[in-house]
Amino acid sequence: MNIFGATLEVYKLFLLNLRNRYLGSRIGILWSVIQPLLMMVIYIFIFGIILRLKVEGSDSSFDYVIWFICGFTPWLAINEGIMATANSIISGINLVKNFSIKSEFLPIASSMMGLPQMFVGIVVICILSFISGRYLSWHIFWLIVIIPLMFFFIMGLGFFLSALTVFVRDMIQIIPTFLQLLFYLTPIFYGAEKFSGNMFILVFLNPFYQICNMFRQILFYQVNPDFSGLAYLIVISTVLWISGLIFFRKLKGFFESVL
Amino acid sequence: MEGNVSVKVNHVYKSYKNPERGGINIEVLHDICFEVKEGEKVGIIGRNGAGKSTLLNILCQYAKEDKGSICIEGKVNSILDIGSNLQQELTGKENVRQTGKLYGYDHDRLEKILLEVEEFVDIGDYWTRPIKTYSSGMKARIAFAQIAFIQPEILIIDEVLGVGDYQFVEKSKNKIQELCSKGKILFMVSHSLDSIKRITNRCIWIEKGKIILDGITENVVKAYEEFVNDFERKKIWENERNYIEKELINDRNKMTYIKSLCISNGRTKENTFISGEDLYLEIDIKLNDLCGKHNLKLRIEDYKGNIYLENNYLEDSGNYLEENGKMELKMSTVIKNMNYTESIYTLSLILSNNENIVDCKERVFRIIDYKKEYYSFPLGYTTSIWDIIFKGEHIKNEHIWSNSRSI
Repeated sequence: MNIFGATLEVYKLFLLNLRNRYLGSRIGILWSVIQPLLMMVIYIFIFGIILRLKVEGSDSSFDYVIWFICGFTPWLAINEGIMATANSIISGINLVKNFSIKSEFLPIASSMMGLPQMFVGIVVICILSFISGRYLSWHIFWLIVIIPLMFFFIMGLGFFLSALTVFVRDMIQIIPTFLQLLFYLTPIFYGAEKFSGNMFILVFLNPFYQICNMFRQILFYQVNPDFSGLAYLIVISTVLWISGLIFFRKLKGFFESVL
Repeated sequence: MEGNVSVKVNHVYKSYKNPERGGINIEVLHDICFEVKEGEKVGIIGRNGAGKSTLLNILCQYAKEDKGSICIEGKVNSILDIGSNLQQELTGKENVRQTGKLYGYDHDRLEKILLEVEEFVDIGDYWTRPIKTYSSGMKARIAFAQIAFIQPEILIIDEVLGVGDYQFVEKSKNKIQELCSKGKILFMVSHSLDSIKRITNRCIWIEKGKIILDGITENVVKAYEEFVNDFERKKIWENERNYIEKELINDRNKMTYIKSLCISNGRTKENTFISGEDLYLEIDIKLNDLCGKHNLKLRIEDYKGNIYLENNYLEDSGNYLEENGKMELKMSTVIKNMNYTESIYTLSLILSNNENIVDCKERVFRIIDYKKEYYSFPLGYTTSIWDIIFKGEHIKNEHIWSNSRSI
């Protein structure tokens, strides 16, 4: 199967997943718009209004809101993508059985489930930036590189998580808790400047921070993304992707014995 | 690789770990080896747990073999778990459309096929209602209808028939047949030997993970059917044997009139005899305070309840047991040349008083016919069986009673 065929297959799966994600709910796909908006409102209320957090070098709460959403948007996509991809084999195994779809396509297609949320986030950022008068620069085109890289990273992680979840169902319970923890550990609603020295190295090595940070640099500070971070992300994503695929291929022959 | 479709399976092994039994490896497939060329439609049969589905899973590379290799030329389409992809919230029509999209159909062709499918499933208004409102029969129809999209090169299907009402099963069998005639290679697992016979031209019979037989469908299915029947008999025999052992224990405790009933071929105490042997029966009866006329009946029936022999010993001779005091009766008899069909039989001795059973003893025995040359009919098949067995000249059967009485 060539690359084109595989892409088509993944695209079909992605559409199917998206269609079926909110099946049975009244407003359906609208939830993928409402949900991120609600999340944003909640977090902005807590961090911006109650805790009165500010961006370094700015006194405006409005700036903080934009700054926060810039980092929160990729997080929404990561959150959604990881949850979907961990579940992808269990929920999609019938497609493998009945439509001869390669099981590798399931985590790949699911990892992009956060795309609508991400889209909503970017639209919100554009609107708010327009209102605040900080117009977006050409740096926004960096998204063309960053977004695929982000999904590439989630896919690599997804290979591990999806295959593992088949055998260790507890993962479905563990992952949301872990993600919640990660949200607070990663500088998303607070700045990374708070850390220095060894602590900062730890933060730097956190790929989730790198993704969020790059979104901020592009959309909020309107500068080129940090190249060392970018290089680090590319390396770690590639390593994760390849090792994940090997891991997945090792395990996929045994899916049938537990599903 | 146009027009060169083939499947090769080389020495494939597969085993599973059973965590409940301390991680013991259970071998599901053992040294499976076959080759399928274009145009062959292969049915795979075997009893539950024989490894059929595992083999299919491996063929469509959903499961991985432990050892060996599989070489497939051509595009594989599989339906292993039909209906599992139906979305409860979507209507039947939307479900079928979704399937079509997954198969990569464009809009125009999809709409055309949807009309065909609607006619085929024939469920009226339900076509545009959510699946969750369907009855199980309707769900089966929708599930089956999804195969309409398949354009098979190598088609692998696991038990797609079987649900739904009779009329629809017929319809779907035709559909499958039509589909299979388009494909180049077919693998099909089904418990319906009838559809295996109708659709396939080659058949592989798997038992305990091994290929027992591989050949023309007709022959393999016939052999399989014989085996299954035989197996049923063996299972009954096992049950019966347990039953005998239980009976023997009970014998000691019970206060009975019939003290013993023995059957043997004069050599061993086994309960298995070879057809054509002489069988010796020994009966020991002790009567205490019996009143009225008593009858003694000897009967042989097979496990299905067909009676092969029934001898109202005392009634026939007009010589009833009619004693008030004590009486002991010892009888022995030979059934010469007991040429029964291979099966499991029950020999029973029934002591009755005006049709009320007073006491009864049963012995179960098995007849083995190595050469398969005998065939016996149960009583009632022909009226003269009784005569053939006991009086007739056709089969040399001598039935001699010798008894000794002592009061």
